[in-house]
Amino acid sequence: MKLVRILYILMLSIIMFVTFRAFEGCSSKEKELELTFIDTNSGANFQWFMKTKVIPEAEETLRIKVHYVVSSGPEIIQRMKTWKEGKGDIHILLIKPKDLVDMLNSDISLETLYPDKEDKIPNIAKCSEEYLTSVLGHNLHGRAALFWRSQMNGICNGSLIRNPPSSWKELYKRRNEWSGHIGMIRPDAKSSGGRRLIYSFLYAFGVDFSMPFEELKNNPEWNDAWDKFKDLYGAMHKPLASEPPILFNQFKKEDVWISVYATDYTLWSRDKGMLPKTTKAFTLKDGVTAGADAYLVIPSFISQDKKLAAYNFVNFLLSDEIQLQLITTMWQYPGTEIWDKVPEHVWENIPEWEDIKNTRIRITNKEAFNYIREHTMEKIR
Amino acid sequence: MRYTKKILIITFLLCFAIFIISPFLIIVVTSFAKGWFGKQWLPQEWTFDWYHWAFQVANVGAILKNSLIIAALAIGMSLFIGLSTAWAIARRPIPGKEILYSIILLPRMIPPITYALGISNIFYRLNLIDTHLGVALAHVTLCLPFGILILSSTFEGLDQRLIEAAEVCGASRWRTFFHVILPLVMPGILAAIIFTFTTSYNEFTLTIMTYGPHTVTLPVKTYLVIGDGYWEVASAISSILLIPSLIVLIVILRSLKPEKIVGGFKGI
Amino acid sequence: MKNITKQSLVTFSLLSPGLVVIGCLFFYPLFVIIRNSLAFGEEQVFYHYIEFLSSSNGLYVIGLTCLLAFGATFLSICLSIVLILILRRKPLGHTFFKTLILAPIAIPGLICALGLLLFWDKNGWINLLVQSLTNHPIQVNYTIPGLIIFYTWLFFPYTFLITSSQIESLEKSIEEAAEVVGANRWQILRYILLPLVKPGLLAGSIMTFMLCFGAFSVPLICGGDYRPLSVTIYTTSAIFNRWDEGSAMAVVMALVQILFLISYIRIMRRTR
Repeated sequence: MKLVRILYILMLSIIMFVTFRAFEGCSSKEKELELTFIDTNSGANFQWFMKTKVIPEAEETLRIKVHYVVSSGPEIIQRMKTWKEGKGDIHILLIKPKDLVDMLNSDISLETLYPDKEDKIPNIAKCSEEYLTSVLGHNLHGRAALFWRSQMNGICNGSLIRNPPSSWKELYKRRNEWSGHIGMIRPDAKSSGGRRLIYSFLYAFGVDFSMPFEELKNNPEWNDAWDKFKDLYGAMHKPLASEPPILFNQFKKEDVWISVYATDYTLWSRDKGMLPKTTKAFTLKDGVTAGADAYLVIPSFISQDKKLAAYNFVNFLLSDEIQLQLITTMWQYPGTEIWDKVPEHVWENIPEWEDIKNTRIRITNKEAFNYIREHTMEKIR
Repeated sequence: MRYTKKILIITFLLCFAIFIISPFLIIVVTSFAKGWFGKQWLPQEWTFDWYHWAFQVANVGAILKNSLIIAALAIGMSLFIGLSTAWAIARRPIPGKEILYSIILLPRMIPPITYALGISNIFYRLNLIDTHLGVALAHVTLCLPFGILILSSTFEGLDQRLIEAAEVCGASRWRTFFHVILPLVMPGILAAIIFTFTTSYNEFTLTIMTYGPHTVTLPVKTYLVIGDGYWEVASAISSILLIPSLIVLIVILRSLKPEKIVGGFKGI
Repeated sequence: MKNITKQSLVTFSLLSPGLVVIGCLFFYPLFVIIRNSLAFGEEQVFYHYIEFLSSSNGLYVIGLTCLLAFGATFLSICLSIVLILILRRKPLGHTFFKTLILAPIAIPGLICALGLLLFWDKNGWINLLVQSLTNHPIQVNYTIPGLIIFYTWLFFPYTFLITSSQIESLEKSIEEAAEVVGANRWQILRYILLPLVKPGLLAGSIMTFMLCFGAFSVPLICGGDYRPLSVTIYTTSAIFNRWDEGSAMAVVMALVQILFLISYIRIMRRTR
């Protein structure tokens, strides 16, 4: 009797398995041109945006089929290294600046999109040239298009903090006001939020990241800024959040009142009811680092017809329609310069680009950034 | 005196039940919760959004498929490899059986993270990373010792006299196998299947060192969502994941001795 | 003579698939790790080991891992004894409790970890209860006692199951005989039951200890600032990309575990 029951359950699972397979068989019969779109940059919010908004719209307007796959950068780079001419099976990638630099440094060849392909991707002209020519201090040569610009900003719970600080120096000075309620993500976490916070802090206290790292390390400003950071750490909520959801959780439980984190993710989560409604963003005028900007690249080793479809797709992603959705629904600064089209109410929620533009720190010193990741925890212990 | 004792026992059992059940309960509540901030026993609003999200964005369906494929491969390989070895251990004279047991059980005694590094290193070179076969092979390291242990104890329990009796009665080798041996060992094989399934289905350490975007299994997905997403969504995914685990739990309770799951430590 | 060789050849060929697979999937990776952990180019071959073991952080991590494992094992033993003594009499709903005890084994550890984090959170149910009584929240998550509670929750079933499987075969008559002789309950417990359960408890707790020592997924999420060996190994190798150092730590971890195992087995043999 018992045996029969077990066999019954086994049978059921086999049937489930077979149905899954069958479904898979069905979906691959489509005749439309198929593109594989790998995304190694999106957090949970943008995965939602891509899946529910962008991809369906693109499939409808461009009449193609897009396989949207979320993946990790290093993984994909390893895989692309083994490709042969014309045999590539990934057609477009949305990647972080770090991975883009890794790709440029390895022998993976990417299509030059700007200015070569301006006729096929007219919208690329709307991206600011500065972002198309250099990334993380490396020469980009127009091999990628800029999809969005992610920005870290101060975030706070408005019901607990009425007048947030306007600069890092003020935050530092008033740290005891919020002692035990300043939040941060561990710098050695998978998320780079904590590392970026420290980078901005050091920058605001006079560290000149344009110096080579070896030189920088022996600079008095470097040590001085670290001492100040230790003071700030003293006023932080401990233990530090090991990943973003934990920071959010601390926010929800009102353990943390103020932090510096990605604006888009924070505000969108607020809209979705995952953070208190009183959460708001503010600027720190002595500079906050950029988040992970998103770059679109097209590998060279793919067949010609896919390449053309990929150009179309990139053009679609850079179209005003999608770019405006980025800022109005996701609170993310668009990759193209379309500020005059952005509705006014947006600026009530996020700091204006005009204010951000000049104080935004693009991370250039990779060694220093890595140092922060690996050594902060021992330094502040 | 008697009553106080009884009350004490009942309170203890009650506390224990709360201790065990509540974490699961709170997951289920969180998965339906909206706007659960500050000090509140229950959320203000209820919603299905996170389940919607789990299927639409987090792709739970595809991931469940991955998990099942990998578990099936791991079970298949473990049984295929384990059968003959277990038979040899159980029914053939081998000098130093104790040592053999220890060797076979060693992968379960040393923390998997230690050899997981080596496995991922080797698999990178063999291009087995991010393939179902690769992840399943990594799982075999943990499933096989289990399989061999359960199977060999089943085979040991097999009565030689029954087999001989069948032969005396004139049954051919095949007939003996199908009509005598197989029915006798079937429960053992099923036990092995169920336990290798749980091992593979719950395995995290080895998976995280060998997985890739195409072979995300359920535990890895849970980790990714807990570490890089929303806990509400993580709770929804977890609630979905609880169902197969509960089925297995019931099967174990109904049909097998739960003691077997921890496997006798004969080698020691 | 010929027959014997043939027989052992058959035995060997039957054994070989399992052994070959374990060799390829377990011993070869171990060998790879040991090779990686040695710095052949450097002056000192054991450079990474010396670096790790001589740093204050290295010893701290090892100490922390042991502390967590011992603490959780101890709590598991206590919890298991009480549960066994109660459930042995098969009170109402004892099957229900057995199901509960199996739950942490059958359900993926990460789900359990998430649930525990939510439950013991500063505004979780436990704390709401505590606050309604004393007005002071207790901090459980991301503390050492908290981690020990989590480990106990996750791994005590192994102690319980192994011990209870041994006690079930215990003769009830021994207990009755003691009662007849006039021993009180405490004496029965102290002089009859505990000595009889001891081997089972030892065997069961070793399983719990090993799992606690090697626990990975739970401290990865619930550890906070406390990062035991397994998490440190993972961070060093897979996130910082310093595979040599990570391998050296892994070897140290395996050695420490084996050391514990051997001493444990010795104790067990003696008590038998």
